Amino acid sequence: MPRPMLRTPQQSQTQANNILSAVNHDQQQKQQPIDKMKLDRLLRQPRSKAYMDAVRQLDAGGHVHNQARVNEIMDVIRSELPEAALSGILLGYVAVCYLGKPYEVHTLDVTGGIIEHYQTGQILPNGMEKARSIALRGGYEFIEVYTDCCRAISSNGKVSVITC
Amino acid sequence: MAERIIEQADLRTIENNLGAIHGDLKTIDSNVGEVNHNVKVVYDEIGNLAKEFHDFVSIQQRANRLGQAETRLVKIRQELDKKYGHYDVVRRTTTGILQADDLGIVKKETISTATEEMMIETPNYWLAPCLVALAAWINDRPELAERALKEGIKRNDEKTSLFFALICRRADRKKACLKWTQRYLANQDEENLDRKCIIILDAFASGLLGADSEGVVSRQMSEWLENLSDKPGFIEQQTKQWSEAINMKRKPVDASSYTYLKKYSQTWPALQDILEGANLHAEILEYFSNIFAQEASTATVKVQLDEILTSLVSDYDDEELPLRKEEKFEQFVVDFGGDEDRARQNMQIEQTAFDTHKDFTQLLTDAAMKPESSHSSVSTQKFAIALSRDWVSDAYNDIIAQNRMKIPHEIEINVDTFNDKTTDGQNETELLTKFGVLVDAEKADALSKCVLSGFEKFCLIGGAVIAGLGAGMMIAGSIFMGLIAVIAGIGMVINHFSKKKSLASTREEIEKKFEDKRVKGSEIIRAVLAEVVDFRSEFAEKDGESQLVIDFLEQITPEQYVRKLADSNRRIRL
Repeated sequence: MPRPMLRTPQQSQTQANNILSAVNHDQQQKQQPIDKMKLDRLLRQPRSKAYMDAVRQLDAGGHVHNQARVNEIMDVIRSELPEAALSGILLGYVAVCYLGKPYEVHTLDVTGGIIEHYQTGQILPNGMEKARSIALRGGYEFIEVYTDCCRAISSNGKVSVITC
Repeated sequence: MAERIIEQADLRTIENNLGAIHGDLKTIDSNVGEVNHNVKVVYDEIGNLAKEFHDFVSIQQRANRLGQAETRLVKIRQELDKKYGHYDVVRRTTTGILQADDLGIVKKETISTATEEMMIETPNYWLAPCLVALAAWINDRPELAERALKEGIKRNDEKTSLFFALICRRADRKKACLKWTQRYLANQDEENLDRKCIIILDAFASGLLGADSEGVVSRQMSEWLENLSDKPGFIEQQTKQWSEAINMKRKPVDASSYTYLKKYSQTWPALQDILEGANLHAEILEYFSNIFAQEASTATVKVQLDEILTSLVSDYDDEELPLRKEEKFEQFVVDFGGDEDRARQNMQIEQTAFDTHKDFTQLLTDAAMKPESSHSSVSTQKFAIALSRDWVSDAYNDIIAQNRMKIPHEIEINVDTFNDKTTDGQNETELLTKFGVLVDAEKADALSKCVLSGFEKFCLIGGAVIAGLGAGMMIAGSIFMGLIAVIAGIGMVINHFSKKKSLASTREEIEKKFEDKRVKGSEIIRAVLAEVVDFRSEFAEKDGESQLVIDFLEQITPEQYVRKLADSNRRIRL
């Protein structure tokens, strides 16, 4: 059984409470947008080669049944992206699938740590469908799908943000 | 009985009286109309009178206000003269010294004596010690110059620094000029730069203030950028600001090459939008390349710098401002013949014209993308783009991605009742087969409705039977009834054949109509698919030009565009 990829929401809550225990509720609310901006700035940074290589391997095939390999990829992702990005706002990855027809795109669902290949006409789950078109036609290496936006990653690691 | 009484009654008197009443009423009506007219005239007269009265009051009020303004002007000017009259002397002396020094026709001692007297007569005014320092400098007395400068800086650091930066530029002492400029800039709030500061930055970018080989001014700008970047939301705001400025350059696309797509695809609006977005790359590349290809002229900036120096030594000091504003307002009142509203309006216009404040990065965006309205020189445009390169690049990458996000993977084809999709226009055979099947089905459906009804079918046999029976009846002797039956029977048979013939013609028409639809529809589908292929290819080509813009931005460095900075090893770190 794959080990949990993320802390459970309850654990995150406990941690948040510990950090913010000294500030009142209003301050917590004010702090949120600033934290979001900091996070956005961090996520604007170009991605490292190790990270790019790891995400590229999603299409190497065989990982659907090889959870250990998926876990390795998830470890690289976890070391690259800030924890905050992974805890809830990053939904997953969408990239063009090179397995050939009828497969069109593949996805990595970060919450479940599952790689799946999708055929033409199959709808991508968990809000990842919005990135299908740009993954297919945008010419990017892959698309990181977030709750409020998509980040298109070029082959040189450069990040482009698309609010959606 | 009653009818008779009525017949006999003579109603002529009543009729005559009613006629008379009607006539009277008419007269009354016309009289009322006349009264009404008269009342209107009276109202108009009163209205005119009221207007004249109001005009009179207004003229009187203005005349009073004019008199009041003239008296106030005298008082204000007296007060100004009493309080700050000696400032004017300093200002005139400074202008005089600058001109005299330019011409070299006044003895150095005279300048010294004049300035030292000024110093004594005008305590607290920043220009007085500056004047002493200037005279000491002309007389080559560094110690005195230094002491006077210290006092000037103490009284007003910003103005003293700007004054000496401009003086040093005129004297072609560029190293000192840069140091003074840096000192002046350090006194500025990067979130609230005024027009003077904008011109100074323009001059710096044009290289008029000298080569920043030690990076003094560049460091100041880096510091501003660092301060601004630390502010929450600043970088996001920058990216947004640049995105908006870049998107302003979008132009409507020429759709003449895609007539079929425009007509037969519901996806066309999305296609038009992304093609417009892709065309932007060539526009922007041309725009940026043009800026960097242009030779900069410094003539205008030089004039502007001299204007700043003139205004610095001739404009009023901050402490004089309230009275000066009052004076200006009263002067406007006098100019407009006592009209306070117009005076207030003019005051407002005059203030906003000079009160242009911008933050440093807004200044950079405006200079780069709106040179006409921001009156920035080509050098500043280059410098602004170079200094904002990373933000422009981020914004541009986002614009590209946002446009690509809108690329429809499948393009709809809507020809009459046929609605299908294509991705790249390669599925012609598949679509034509589908279309053929649809046309066949529609034709079959139309034909299936085009058959003889039960009665019409019955007419053939029924008619023959009835006609036969009729013939039998005629033979049997019932000639009349038999004849009718024979005619009816023949009529039914004729009806059957006529309906059959008409149906055959309708079916032929249906066949023809659907064949026509098949041929024309297939042609349209082929044309739409051909345009889809062209569109995808044109879009890919135009979209690919985005890389040229990114590459262009990548090779820009800020210091490259500050003139004479080529030897500098320092870099502005963004």
